[in-house]
Amino acid sequence: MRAVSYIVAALVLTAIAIATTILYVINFTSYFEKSKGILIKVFSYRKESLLERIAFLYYVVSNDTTLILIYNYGDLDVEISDLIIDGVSIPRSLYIVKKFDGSSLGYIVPANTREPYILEVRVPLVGDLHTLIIVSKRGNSFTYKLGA
Amino acid sequence: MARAISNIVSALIFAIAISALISLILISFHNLVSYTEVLHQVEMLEMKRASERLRISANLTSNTLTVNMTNVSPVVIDVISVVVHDRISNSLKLIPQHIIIPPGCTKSLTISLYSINATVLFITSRGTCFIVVIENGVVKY
Repeated sequence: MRAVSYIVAALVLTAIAIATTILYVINFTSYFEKSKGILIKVFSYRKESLLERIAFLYYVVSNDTTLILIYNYGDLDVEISDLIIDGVSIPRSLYIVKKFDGSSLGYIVPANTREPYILEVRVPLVGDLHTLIIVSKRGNSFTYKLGA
Repeated sequence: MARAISNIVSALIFAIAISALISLILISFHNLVSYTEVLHQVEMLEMKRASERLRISANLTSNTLTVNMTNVSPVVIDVISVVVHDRISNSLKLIPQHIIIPPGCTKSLTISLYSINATVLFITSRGTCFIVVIENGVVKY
């Protein structure tokens, strides 16, 4: 009888140990996958952020519209999330990225196209010197002094 | 027996924990190396961009602008576009180009120009812009 209880006790203990191990492994695996995912995401976000490059080339003012020549010399398309002129955020309806043939690209400045684009801003600019900041969706900001 | 099982389980848990930790360290290291490579690549790009220098001489005769571009920088310059701003009609015109100028070399370019007041931009693949201004038919830099 005592021998049987030893066996039962050992079996119960084994079952508990196996169940605990399975639980631990499952939890640990999901935690590990999550950590790995976050880590990879953080690094890839940083890398993408670095690869965004915008050059301001020239600008033309005509009436209430300013045409700003921009060129993406980075490896990734840049999506403009905000345009700030002299510290004031410009509503999205007042600016747009265009090709030279007049076709609209929305808010995207494509990369690797060997082509400059026109950022058309329908805001009257009073005075000679203005600071323009393009904020990208990845959080980069590109500053340009108009009239400098 | 129970002790043996608990030892095995502990060893198993320890092995899993250690292998996961090592994997995380390796993944971090791999990502860090790849991030550093991108950083280096971007730094090189910016360095090359900053050192781009073109000596431009231009001559305007009967609506034709002849431009000689000499690369006086230590990097190869690729002129990807010429943009003409006609300051009379206030219009912009894009002329796609593919002119590769090795260091120390000179390349010529002819552009038809129908305005005596224009600004001509020579844009490189690294986003540098070189400007020639034409005022009343006279080339100014």
